[in-house]
Amino acid sequence: MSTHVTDELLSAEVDGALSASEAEAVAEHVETCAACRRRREQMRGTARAIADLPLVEMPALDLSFLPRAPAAPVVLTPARWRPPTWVAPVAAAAALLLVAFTFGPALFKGNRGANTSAGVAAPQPKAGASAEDSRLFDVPAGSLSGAPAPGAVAPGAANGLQAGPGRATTTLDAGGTQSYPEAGGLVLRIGPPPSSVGTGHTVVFNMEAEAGQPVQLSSLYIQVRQGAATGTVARSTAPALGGGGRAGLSASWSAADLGGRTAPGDYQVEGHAVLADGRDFLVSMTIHVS
Amino acid sequence: MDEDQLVERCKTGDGDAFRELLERHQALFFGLAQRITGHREDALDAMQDSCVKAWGAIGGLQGGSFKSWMSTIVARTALDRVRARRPATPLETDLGVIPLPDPRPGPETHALAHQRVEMIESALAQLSPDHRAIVLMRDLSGLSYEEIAEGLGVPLGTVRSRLARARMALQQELLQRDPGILEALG
Repeated sequence: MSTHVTDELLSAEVDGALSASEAEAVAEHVETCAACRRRREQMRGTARAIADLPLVEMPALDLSFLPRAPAAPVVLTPARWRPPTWVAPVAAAAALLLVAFTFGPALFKGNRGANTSAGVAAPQPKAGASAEDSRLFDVPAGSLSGAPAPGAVAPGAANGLQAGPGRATTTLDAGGTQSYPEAGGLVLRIGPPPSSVGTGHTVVFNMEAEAGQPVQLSSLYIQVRQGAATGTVARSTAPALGGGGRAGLSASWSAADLGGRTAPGDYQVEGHAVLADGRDFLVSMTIHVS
Repeated sequence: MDEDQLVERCKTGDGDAFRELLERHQALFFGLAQRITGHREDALDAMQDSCVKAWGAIGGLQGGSFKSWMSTIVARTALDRVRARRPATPLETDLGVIPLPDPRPGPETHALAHQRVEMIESALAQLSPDHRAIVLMRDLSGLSYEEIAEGLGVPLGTVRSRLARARMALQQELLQRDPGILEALG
């Protein structure tokens, strides 16, 4: 290169952005040209002047348009869930269960009343309990069959039975709270029922789980048993993920979903709440219609 | 968590991951926006717009550096804001910001360094917006020629020639203020 190196080549040389042939020509010329060596140093100094500028503290921006991260569900290790604690929590869960059960006159003509009793099935501490547990939910919704189990259960008076002409509303322990310190401070609440309950033929389960950390309430099912027959008549539509530490599920069914079955007998309703670690609560009650 | 992981989380709708990415480089991004626009308020608006654009487009970021990618968005947005501004608006040479402590050691006293920074900022402010943008994208943000070309929407050859002209214009401004400054910096 006999003439001086252009500004563009010097600039690109500073950045290492020359082709091999360009780089070779520039290097050859600069080695013998003091003026271009000086220009190259000035070009480097110019680039360095900008590179050395200090960082600038940024004022706060409005980033409210950004969604918050969905929190990961808590995974509680089964080892932290000591067996002795199951007795009290599950019993308490039953006490917390709230059911608004309203029978309409069209379904139960001549209904002389309804008796109910609440109980808790054996807790299900099995690992990896599935929401599709076939033992519990072995009959498709609406296909309930089989004869009602004979015999009445405990009188409903103790359960707050309110009887009226052709109509009975039963409320079992209207809500409550139970804490489980062993499970990361998990708190379970049942009820109260939503305001829409009570307009007819509806059974509603509400369950809320709260913890000091994200918690998942995986499912809530309502099942009806008549004798040996069972049927799932309602389930929550999606797991409730409580990223903020609180998750709530609601599931309800209409008495009409029983396929018009109005025969007196025992109807068993089960709520199945499965926590994130697979531990589940099975809360059941028997409703006797006579 | 590294930046690639954060970018992937952004793509799933995790706004907190975007906040973290922004926080890591915000001083660089804002310095870029402020020096291109020459105005603090414009820079803030440009940053705000850039964040909205980036969040909407981050699904298309494939394998590249978030810092570089976001820098091109900030530079382009700031440049658009300057072009939309009234021509008579004077630039702020004293940008009125608080420089963060510079971790790089140097033999100069703090006062001397501060004086030099002011001189460079003043020289930079005399360049055209296009020239300011390209030298800042290359020498402050460290973008490659290819990244600059993509960010500004110009051919690679234009980047090379425009950058050379911008550096020469800056060099003249600097030499007018201090004939010995480039040797000191080189």
